[in-house]
Amino acid sequence: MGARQNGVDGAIALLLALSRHNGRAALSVLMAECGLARASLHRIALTLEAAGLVRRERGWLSLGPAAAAFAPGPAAQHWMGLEARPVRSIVAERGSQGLYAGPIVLSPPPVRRASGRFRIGFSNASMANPWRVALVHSVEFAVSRLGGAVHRLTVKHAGDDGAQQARDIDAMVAQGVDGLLVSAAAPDAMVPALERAMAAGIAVVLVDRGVAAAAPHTSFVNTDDRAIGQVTALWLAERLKGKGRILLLAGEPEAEPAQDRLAAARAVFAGFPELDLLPVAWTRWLRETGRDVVREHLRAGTSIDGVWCDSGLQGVGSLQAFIESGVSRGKIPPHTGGDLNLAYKLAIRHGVPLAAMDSPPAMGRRAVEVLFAAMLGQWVPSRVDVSSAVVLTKGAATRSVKADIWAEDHVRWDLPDDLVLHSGLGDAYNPRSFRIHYAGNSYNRSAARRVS
Amino acid sequence: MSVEQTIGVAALARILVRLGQGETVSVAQLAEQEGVARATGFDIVRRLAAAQLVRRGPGGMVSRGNAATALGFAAFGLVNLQGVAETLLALLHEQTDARLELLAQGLVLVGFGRTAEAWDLQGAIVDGAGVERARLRLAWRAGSGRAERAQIGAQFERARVSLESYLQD
Repeated sequence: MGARQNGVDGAIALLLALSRHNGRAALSVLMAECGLARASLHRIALTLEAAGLVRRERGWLSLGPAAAAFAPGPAAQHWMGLEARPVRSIVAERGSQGLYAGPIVLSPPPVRRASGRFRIGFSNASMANPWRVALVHSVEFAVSRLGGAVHRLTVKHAGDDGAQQARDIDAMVAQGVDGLLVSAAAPDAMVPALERAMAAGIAVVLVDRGVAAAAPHTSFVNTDDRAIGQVTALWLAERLKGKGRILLLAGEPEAEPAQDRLAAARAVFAGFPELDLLPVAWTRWLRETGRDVVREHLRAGTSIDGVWCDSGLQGVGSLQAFIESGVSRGKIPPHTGGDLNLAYKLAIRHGVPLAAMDSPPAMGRRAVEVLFAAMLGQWVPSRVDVSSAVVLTKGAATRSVKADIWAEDHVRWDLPDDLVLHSGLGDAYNPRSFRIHYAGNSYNRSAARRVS
Repeated sequence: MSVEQTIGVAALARILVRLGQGETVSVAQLAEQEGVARATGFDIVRRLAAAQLVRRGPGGMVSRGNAATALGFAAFGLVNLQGVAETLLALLHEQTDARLELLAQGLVLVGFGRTAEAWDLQGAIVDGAGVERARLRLAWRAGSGRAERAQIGAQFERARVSLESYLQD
């Protein structure tokens, strides 16, 4: 539509101008901004005033009582649209205070106003371990709950290849997605592709793994990785009474969560000068690598008093190496790292003191909610932390670290070893039998089955 | 402006007032109930949707758009809080499970949970000149303990400060 065509357009322009001027403006200003002649403006204003939408004063126009009723009012329905979540954020209580200080930063709605049914793209770093499978399941579950509001969900796995992931993002933008979820394989490699997506007015929500600080994005949904590092390191240090040799098994060197957890743990260990830290072993969150590293140390006769793992994904490899080496029940050194059902099973079965804060795959579900809200044109928090809980084996509490949940109550003996806990998918969730239907898949098959 | 155009503006005003109250209806229903010709109703809704004063959802249903909500806030001189207030209160409600209201001139702009008889926390949202423009209030959920209330108090204050910073932006 070209130039203004009738009085309806003039009325709309007038109302929007009053909104821009925070409810009140001089008639001369409104005439200039709306391109209305004085007589037309008066007639429009008179008609709108009769409906209570505006109020005329000498030389001024302001919004009237009927416009005041347009505020959402009581029982507002807003972005947390799916269902209630746990009320209190445990991580928020324990987390790094710096993260929670100051006003809450929100992102404005994306420029492009999508309407009708949304197309969503999910660019996933990889399918390298069970946690990433759970993340995909969590995203798919949330999209399925949105029903007819979603036209299509497209999922692409990048095989931990940053360049491939950038191409995936560009392709999804070219296909016309309204919103993107991105779990970045390599933070820096994503920046140009994300800039192009944001420039196209697409909402971009990062999940689990962030990108370089300069990269534009609508929101970043994660858990507090520093809290995971801090709490587990503090527990291990106190468990060892500040003395002993600790093996550090970290995740993936390029991944931000692994870096944050390790940095936070090291900062805690630095406060215990009698702790001896062995060189960090990067395991890429692989069970086999964790097992090989520990086997090598045991073969070499290294004395190990505690094993700090940023996740049970590799922690189970360490536990298996100790078990295979014949260390008797109750003699395996304390470990940290949860996430995986098998980590809890092994720790309980073999009497290993364990502390963990699961990194919740439920963040996938949360990311979909945030993305959906942004696509609807709502403001969303620029950072969302999905809370987790401190899980300890019974009797393993220390002076500073108490259990929110006992591992014995958290473990699922009835479900597979590769179940990742805190998925937010309900008690019946089983990654091996997971079936889901949403716009974009066929035969109820999860995209997590198409492992790259 | 012709008589026909004045009639069109009057029809727009009726449709907008109706949708502004939060109803979701089809355009055909809207036209019939507001006494507007069907073609005129569709034309007005198309123009309102282009301006985001109404939102067209799946199935052709229309409801209040974001620009209409902005009008509601602007009527109180609080246009900077449109969108921001809903999100901040939603977040605070999620963190605390408490009943919440943001008021201006005695009217509830945004509320979560049913209204309370007594409010446990209240805080003014002041503009750059130090004038109170709105008020945030909260009622604890039943059974909340002392530690939880202390934490909620901090979260309430953070939300209030955030609202104030956006208002003064």
